[in-house]
Amino acid sequence: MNYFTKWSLLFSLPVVLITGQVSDAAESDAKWSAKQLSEEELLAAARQIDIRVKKIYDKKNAEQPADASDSVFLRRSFLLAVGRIPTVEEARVYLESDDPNKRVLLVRYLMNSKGYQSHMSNWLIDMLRVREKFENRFTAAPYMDWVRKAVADNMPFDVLTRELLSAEGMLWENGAVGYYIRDKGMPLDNLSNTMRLFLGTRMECAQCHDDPFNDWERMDFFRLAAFTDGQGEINRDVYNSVWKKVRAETELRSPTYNLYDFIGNNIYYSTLAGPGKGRIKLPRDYQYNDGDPGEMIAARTPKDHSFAKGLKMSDRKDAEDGRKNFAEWVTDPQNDRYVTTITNRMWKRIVGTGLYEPVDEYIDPREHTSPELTRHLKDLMQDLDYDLRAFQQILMLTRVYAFASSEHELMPGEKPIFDGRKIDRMSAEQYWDSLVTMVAGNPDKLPTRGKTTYVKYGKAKLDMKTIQSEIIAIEDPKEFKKYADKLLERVQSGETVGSKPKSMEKMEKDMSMEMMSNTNNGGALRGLARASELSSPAPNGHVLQMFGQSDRLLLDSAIKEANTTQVLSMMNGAVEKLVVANRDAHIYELSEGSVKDRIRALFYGILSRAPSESEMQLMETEVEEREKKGYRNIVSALINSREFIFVP
Amino acid sequence: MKSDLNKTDELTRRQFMANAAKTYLGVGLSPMLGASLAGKSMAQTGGKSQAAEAVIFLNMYGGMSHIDTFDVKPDNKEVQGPVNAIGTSADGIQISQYLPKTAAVMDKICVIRSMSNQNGDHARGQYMLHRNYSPRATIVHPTVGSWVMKVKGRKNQDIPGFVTVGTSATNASPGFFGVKYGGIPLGRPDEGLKDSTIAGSVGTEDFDRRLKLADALNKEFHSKHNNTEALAYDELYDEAVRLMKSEDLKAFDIRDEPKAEREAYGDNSFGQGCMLARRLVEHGVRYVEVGLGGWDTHYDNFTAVESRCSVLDKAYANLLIDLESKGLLDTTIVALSTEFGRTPRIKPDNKNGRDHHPGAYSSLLAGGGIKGGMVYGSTDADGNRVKEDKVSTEDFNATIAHGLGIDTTSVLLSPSGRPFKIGGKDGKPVKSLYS
Repeated sequence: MNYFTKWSLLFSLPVVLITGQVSDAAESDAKWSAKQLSEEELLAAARQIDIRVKKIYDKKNAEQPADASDSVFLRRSFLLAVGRIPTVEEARVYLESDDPNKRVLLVRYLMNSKGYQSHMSNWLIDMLRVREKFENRFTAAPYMDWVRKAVADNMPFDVLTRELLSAEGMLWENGAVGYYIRDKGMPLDNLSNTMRLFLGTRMECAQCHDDPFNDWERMDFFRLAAFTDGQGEINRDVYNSVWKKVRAETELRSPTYNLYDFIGNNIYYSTLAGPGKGRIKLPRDYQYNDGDPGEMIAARTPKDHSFAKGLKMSDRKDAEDGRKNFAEWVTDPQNDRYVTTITNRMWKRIVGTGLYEPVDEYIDPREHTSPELTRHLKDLMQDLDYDLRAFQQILMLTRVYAFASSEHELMPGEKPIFDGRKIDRMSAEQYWDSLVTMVAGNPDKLPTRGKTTYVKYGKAKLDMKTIQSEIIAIEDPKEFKKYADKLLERVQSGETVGSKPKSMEKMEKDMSMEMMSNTNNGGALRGLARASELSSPAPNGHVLQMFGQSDRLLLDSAIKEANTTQVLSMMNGAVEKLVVANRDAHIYELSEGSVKDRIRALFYGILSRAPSESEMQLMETEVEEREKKGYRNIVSALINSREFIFVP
Repeated sequence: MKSDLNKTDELTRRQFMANAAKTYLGVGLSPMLGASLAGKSMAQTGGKSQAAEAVIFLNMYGGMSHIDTFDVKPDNKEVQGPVNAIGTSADGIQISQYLPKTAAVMDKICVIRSMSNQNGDHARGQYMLHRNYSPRATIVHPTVGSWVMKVKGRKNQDIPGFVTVGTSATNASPGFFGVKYGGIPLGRPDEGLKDSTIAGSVGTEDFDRRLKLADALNKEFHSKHNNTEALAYDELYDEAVRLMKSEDLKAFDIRDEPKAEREAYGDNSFGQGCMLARRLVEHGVRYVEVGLGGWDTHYDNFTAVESRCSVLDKAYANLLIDLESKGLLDTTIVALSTEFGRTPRIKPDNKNGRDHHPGAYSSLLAGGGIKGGMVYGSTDADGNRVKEDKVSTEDFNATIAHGLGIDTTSVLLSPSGRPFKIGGKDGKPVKSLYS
């Protein structure tokens, strides 16, 4: 086999991608322009980080740890950058190549692949707790689509933050409104989450009382909440006046009743009015001397040197830009909590140990292991205009990333010195996507969920964007009733309701994805697709759930703890059915040639390394004694090994 | 501020150590003294004579509205909204019209109307409800279920002693006790213990060979990485293999239940989960949690609470009746709780929603020696504040532990030497609830 040809086939592909289009975002309506860094620039940036890390060791008069082996580097990079293990071919080509530059090429290959988008989508969907459906159990698909597109477009993180925090309008036109609609009825919890997510600041205690553990007072919290107060639905009154009558006059669950109900839940519910009043009434149980229950107070940001310069609004009249102001303040370049938090999140993601932990409890950079390193990383993040992909790519080119794994456990209060990633169990998504890879090969070529534009209503298909914009524009209840009654007629005739019918093919795709995300235990369970393409969260009983995928109800609720159901699943369940006993699985396809060759291929495809001599002997004996069954036994054993589920 | 708190911690810790040393002199201050805590408490603390053997914990996650369920305020329409109160089989106790079947078995139930805590946040609230300590970045506390495992051990050695159904897998977490004491989280009750038999195409011989091959690889791996989490999987593989061979595996299979029985519990995940819980307890499982979500009714409270109640009512009432008819109610504590209640204030702009309200809420206890047909504690006329006999989350869990005969004053040390108690730092059992 000519490895050189293979190599260039596999890993030079991204060069085309870099100069051409980087992602799906062909029709990008981007409001930013990302800096395009050359390989030299990326490498130079990585060297700058190396210098700062080395200083930590110099100061302690210590030697830096050794580099990880090629196979560790390979497996680690795949799992961290694209959320899966390499295929047999990818592993073989990389491990058998002599190219001295292969680590750099590998990182480039990964960071420009669709797998990166998939894996980053998982991260963001998790952070934002995006679920398939809103609280009223109707679809949140456009929000999900928006998040995925933001990742595909590599939207700078500060732009993304502002878009979410200041979004207004209709869901089917601007999916970003989902950020607030997701937490409808609980704007205060939404604010707590915003502070924790983007600013590493825990204020949930101050929602109800002064926080004894931090400096936040309940007043601080409400002054922040004032920026975002006054959210509602667009023209809901128009609907309500008609709905009240319909509800009183028509039979429960009659076609008319159902359609009006549907419109309320899908068309009006998923709009966001209220740009942020900038003032708010103190709650009825307000208990401190600095304000009275029911008193109107003005928005004001908390005083702390770690935040950006203070911002105040008027308590006399409602403003039209409270949320916009808030979004600007959160992402202000001077807001140290903002840049530090996202920098630390990315650092921990790649290097394994945060500059401080937990990542959502900001610590003043002066207290970090190396204030100089932190400062440098923050500057880099801002120089890159919050390009998270470029930032991670640079980190993956550093020495600290490439250190061999360490077992050094930090004691309480001990500051990290970044002496190599501690091995860590795969996340549910990494595990599932790795199974998918063994079955289907590179999963980037598997079908994706696409964008949802139609919703199925009985036999009819509704073009939601058109219908929503038409209905929401109506100001007169009579006009609305006319529209809704006409819609009912059209729906009952089973036609596709919308402006221009799209090609049938596209529509079918939309519908099948819609159906997939609407089922609770059907499609997604059987679907062989990456985690990012399945419903969010995965249905009960799915491998993803078993291995601790977040329920996307609460922040930070993914878990990696071991339990018996996982083990049973690995021995007898999903692993057996999907991979081991599946003769068509990709992992067997490339296992050909001599016994040794076949065993080696299985090791490449499962553990991303060649077998040691003693392992080879052991496996050869297995094949000798059990023949065909022996190969299956080897596959099962390798997947069931600790080495498989721990990220090196 | 933070350093002050650390000091308090340090003080308390020393105090704990002294207590522990006094109580267990000769046993040693090792984290392994678990088993010796069990059984002693009755003699030491008085109270009920026979300890319960199992717990079914029903977790109403999301924050169950107390006013619309077990702490009705029929004379106060402003906070009560459209819900009516109904009489029950216990004299003088009224509950919500949404719970007619429960009302009929009220004579078996003790309602605690004076629950109160300080967490208005779901994650923290659920953490406290299960572990009795606030979340800390430096340690993961064990859940009450794993405490019970640690202290009382298994009743049936062949199957797991702690199972959760239809609730977040974190609720099965053993925390610093380690996987041996963790629960088995089941996503769906109708699937039984998934994957617990050798797959059809694999014979026992190949199954064993696979394990042996993997073992060889693992030895090498562990010699390179001395990692606790990786080693934990070794224990679980042994456990899983033992489990696969157990006769009692059928405890997990609700398909064995007659159709009428299944219907009596309600054809939904929670109802079937309750039935599974009863089966498991019959087979000697110590601690089962079953979850029912959807209580976070900021929006359209009354529609949502009514729908939740219809599921809860059927399953809960039937569970008590079923346990009793099988002679299990006397030895099984059925507890029901939530992370917090909901505001008396009804928010019209959220289609009549109610927000989080940790200041006052209700929980239930039944079976296992609990006095039925009683109310403990009360709230003010608005259901806003606790008026008398305040019970914290820690107290509630300590009360359960007490019923199991666990000494709630005993201290166990984490591997790093920090002291912990089953009912948290301040949890005290309400002994008067037991007959």
